[in-house]
Amino acid sequence: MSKVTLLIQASNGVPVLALARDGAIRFDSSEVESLAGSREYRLMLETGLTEIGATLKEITRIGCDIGPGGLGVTRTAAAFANGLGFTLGIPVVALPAFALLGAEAFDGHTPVALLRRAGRPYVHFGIFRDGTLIHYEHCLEEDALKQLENLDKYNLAGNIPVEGTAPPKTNTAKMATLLSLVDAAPKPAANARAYPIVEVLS
Amino acid sequence: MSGLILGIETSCDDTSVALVDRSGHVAAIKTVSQYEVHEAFGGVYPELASRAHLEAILPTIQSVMDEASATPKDLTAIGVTRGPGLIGSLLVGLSTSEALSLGWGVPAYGVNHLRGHIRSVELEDGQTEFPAVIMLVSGGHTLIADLKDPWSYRLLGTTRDDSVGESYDKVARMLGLGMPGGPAIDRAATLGRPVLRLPRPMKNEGYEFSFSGLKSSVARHIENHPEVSLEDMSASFVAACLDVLVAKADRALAECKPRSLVIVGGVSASPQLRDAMAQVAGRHGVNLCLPPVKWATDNAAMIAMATWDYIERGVQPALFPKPNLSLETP
Ligand SMILES: [Zn+2]
Repeated sequence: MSKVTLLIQASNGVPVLALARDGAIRFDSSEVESLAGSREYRLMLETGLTEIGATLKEITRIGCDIGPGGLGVTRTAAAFANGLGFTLGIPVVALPAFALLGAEAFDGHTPVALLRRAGRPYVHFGIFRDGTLIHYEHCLEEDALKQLENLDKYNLAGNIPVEGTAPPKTNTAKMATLLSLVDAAPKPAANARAYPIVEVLS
Repeated sequence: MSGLILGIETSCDDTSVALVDRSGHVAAIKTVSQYEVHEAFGGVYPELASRAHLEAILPTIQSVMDEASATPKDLTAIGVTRGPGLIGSLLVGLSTSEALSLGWGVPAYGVNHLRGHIRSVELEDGQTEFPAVIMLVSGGHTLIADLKDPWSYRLLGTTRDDSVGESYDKVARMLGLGMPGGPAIDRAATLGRPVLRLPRPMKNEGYEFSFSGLKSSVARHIENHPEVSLEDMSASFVAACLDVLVAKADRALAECKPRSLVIVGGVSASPQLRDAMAQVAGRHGVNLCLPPVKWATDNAAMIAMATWDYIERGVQPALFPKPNLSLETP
């Protein structure tokens, strides 16, 4: 029986589900025309399992994007991932979206500034440097922009353009990037679950 | 143990899970309240509600399964609230149920929360005789409907603004009686007399309700008549609410000529309402059906109970949230 990893990315608003085996992505729902934009996790998963010739029981771990990002989509993704992890007795590895986007946009030396829209006038703001997410906060857009002025040089990722800077490189991570983060994570307990990052304003 | 429905209710701010058999026996139930999470915000904070559901739901399911010594093989189906309710909260219950359904190989049904309330009366040993007139009175809903059988609902009327439970809570807050407001007002009311002339909104018109004017009128009286005791204020408010509810029930019984009058929802726990409705039912010679008080507020046992209707009718709504689902749609 092979070991399959289930990966879910949703915080950018468009749910994508992938299956990996032997260190490589074997199924990616965003590449299947009939599943593009789908929110039906069960359908996406069943389609994927059929496509790679695997059964549910072969899934040994799940990696799930926990945002920050869309509130509904992150909760739906986590609830599905956690529920499945619960029934199969396997861990769910929580993947912070900014660690994913940072890894995706990182060129090997330039820091990545991460900006994602939250409820106006707030944003999610992060800095990814030397392969690690070193800063994250939920703050006013103007406060994030002020902090960016202090950064010499950076590449931008997320979904908010910044005047005088090249447009965001991406707001989506490749599913292979999710897999590499799951591989790099410390070995999770079988009952590990994913809980989305919450934005709460006082 | 087999032939159980796993009911899941996450429409608002309580995570509730129950196991219920066909006879309405509740094998296990657990409800996790989010009261403390939202207290500081003075109301339900939707983002926090859905996050709290996520944290609570799997441990609650585990604990209910353990308590009943049940395994997935004992489940006939999963029944989960699909609406009405807060979208983020509904999504957690629905998405979790979808995963459980897939992982355990058990069918899952999206259930109408309002129909859950109505079937709460069948939990334990209830036996509604049909046709029936039902009145749902709670913090989230106020409606009156006519049921030919357990499946065929005809909505007679609903509220145009506040629900009756909401106005109980708001008036309790004005009077400094604390939460939950309903029982506090009922208790205070038993010690007072209905001395104030409060309006009876829409009492003599059809089946629609409106409670926001009544609440504003109480606010004005509190300001203009500081000499009136809070017991008398409470008694006056309860009398006005009951007058309206009784008038609507009376009209429905006269027009629909049912065999039962069913009163469900959190406000059905009110002793004053129970007494008043017993008198109306008696006048019309119909059966009064009330759920045990513990099943009156939102709970997963009622959702599980309603799921049996869906299974028997072969109706399996998809697991998508319907925040504004009406009573007439399964
Ligand atoms: Zn309710």
